[in-house]
Amino acid sequence: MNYEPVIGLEVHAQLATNTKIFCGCSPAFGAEPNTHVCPVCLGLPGALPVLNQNVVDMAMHISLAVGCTIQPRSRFLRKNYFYPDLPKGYQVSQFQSNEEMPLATGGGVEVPTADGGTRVINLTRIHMEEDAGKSIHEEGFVSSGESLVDVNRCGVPLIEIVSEPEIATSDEAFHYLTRLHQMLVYTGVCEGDMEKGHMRIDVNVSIRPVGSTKLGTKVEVKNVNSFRNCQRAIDTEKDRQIALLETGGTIQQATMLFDPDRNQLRPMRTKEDSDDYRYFPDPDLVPVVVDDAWITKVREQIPELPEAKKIRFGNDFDISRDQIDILTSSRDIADYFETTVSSGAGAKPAANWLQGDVMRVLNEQKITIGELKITPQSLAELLQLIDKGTISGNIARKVFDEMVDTGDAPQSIVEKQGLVQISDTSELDGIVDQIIADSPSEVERYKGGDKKLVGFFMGQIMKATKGQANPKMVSQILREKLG
Amino acid sequence: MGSESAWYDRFFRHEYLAFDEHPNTNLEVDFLLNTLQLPPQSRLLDLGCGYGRHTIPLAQNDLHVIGLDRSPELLQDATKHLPNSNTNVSFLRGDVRQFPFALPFDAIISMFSSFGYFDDENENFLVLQNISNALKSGGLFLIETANRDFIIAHNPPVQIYRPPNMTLIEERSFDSLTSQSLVDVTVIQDGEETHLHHAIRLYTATEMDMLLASVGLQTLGVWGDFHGSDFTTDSPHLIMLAEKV
Repeated sequence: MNYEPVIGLEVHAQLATNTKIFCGCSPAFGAEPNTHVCPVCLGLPGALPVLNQNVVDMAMHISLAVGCTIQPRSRFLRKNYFYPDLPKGYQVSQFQSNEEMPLATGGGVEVPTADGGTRVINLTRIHMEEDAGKSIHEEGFVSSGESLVDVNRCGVPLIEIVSEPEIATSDEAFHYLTRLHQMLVYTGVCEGDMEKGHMRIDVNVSIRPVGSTKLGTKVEVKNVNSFRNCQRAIDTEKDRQIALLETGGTIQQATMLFDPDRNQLRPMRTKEDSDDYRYFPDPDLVPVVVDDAWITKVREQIPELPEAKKIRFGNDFDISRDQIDILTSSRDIADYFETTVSSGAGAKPAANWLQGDVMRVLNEQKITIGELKITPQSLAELLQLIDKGTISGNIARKVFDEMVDTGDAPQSIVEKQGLVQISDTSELDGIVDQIIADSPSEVERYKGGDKKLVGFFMGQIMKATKGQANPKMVSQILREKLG
Repeated sequence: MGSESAWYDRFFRHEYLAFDEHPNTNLEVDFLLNTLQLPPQSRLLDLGCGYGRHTIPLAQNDLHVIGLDRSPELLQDATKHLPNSNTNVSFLRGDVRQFPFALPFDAIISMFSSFGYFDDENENFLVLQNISNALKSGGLFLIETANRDFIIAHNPPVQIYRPPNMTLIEERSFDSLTSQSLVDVTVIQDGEETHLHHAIRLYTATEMDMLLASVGLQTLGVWGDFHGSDFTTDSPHLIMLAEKV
């Protein structure tokens, strides 16, 4: 029998707020352990939490961006469980049931499929919750048999983005995550740094016979920390389940941990049902009430998203689909491109230079486009100098390198270094004549049919003029003189 | 008004599924195919797709169709009617005020008065802007909505329908200041009364033409019904086709 996987993803994204969700502590990563804490995030008796309004605001940004419906009223509930890194003994979260609504429901993202088409992956909900602390077992400085606890992360604001179980392949899961990541970063609600754990993924995998619509027993793989690992965890778990069914076994509902180094899944615990958590409304927190005015305000603040930008770039600029993808990969690059074009550069050369030389510099120097010394206006000026024939493409690269170092305007670099292209026919005539006179044997071979030698002559002329000869004109003069 | 009371969140649920009847869906789909003339595998977006009565047959005509609707109940019903074959159709539960699509569309349709749901005119306009932004240049937008003039001239203030196992009472009014058609619907089923409300902004053909033009959509044609008749005061429908310029 042929089986197909059914995959649902729960993405925990850390919101880029200045303070934690219910207190004024810093959520910054990498601080001295157990220093960013207070009675509220430690859950000391009598400490009262107050909801950070920014958390709701940011959660609304991403929710509206992916087309969710914001619930006018939602509550925070306590999810009760014991773990050493959870000093309160419960996590404050939201819940969805007949009685409870989370902050946002519905929405979805479109992902490319293997056959070149696309599919929509629908979302069940987006809800807000607090993070738990961190247990440290496996680091070198922890003695064997011991665990250390760092509670700095307690109360760091998260949103959980829950997809419907309708992702069909591990590739689709990868595209879904990539798109979510891009949206989260574009809207500015999450920094998206995977190494700091800004996005952690729980993967639900079940399998069913191809064509069946019934869902199989699902296994949850917890806390996957990268998109590639997520893909691998799905494939590993799918293969495990198929092998199990084919040898007559049955699949147990379970929670597993993925070990990326061994490409293995380890059982973590048998899965609890939500009943086991004894969810109940947190009596210390008031319901979250969102009115239309707030929704409208957030809707207006959402920047143009990559999808919309891609469509607009495709309509407005004559550039390739690959270039559109690169230029819209981040808001800063897209803005840079648009400013370059609106400052007078052609879209095509601007895209070519951004994709080529600018990206090269960013990669080499490991800087962001905001840190580049060349302003979009200067880049536009450079491209106009090429367009007008003042400098050649080759010279432009030299000027560009100079601009990278100094940030000077291209016109002044060209003038200071005397780099103006030689487009004076009489001057070029003389140089070409000289080169022809100096290379009798090459001229003979050329006339004998070795037309490739035109490259040799071009090279000699460029050398003689330090690259400043107008290549188009040289080529024309050469052909005339060599016949 | 809080979004809690948004009429469309209550209106499009199981009662709607029970009383919504469309004997002319085939005619409508044929009209769409003939009017849009899309090459195979074109990308089409069905806004306010409901339970997919256009979405699915359009996809079966070798189009890649995405249906977007806000109602979980209607979308749930749509998935029950999904064909088994390799049709390229997917449904998104979403909001017309924010499109999450990855690629531009060759055509977008808005059928059966699924436009003009918001009390705030800016939000209705935002939907048109989203439509225009999501189209390729040369892409087509087809909208079908109730003809405002017809509604004012002909719709009786009270209408009673008797679909199977239920009675529907529609009480209609028209707000001339906001140009909104207001309908209070009473559904009587198994002796129980349910009250629903429906409120949409209706536009004259001239208004719609100007709105479309202001988002870069140029009107190519106007019809009064799905047989392709001319649009007049007495046409039940306002059907407009526009092209993104």
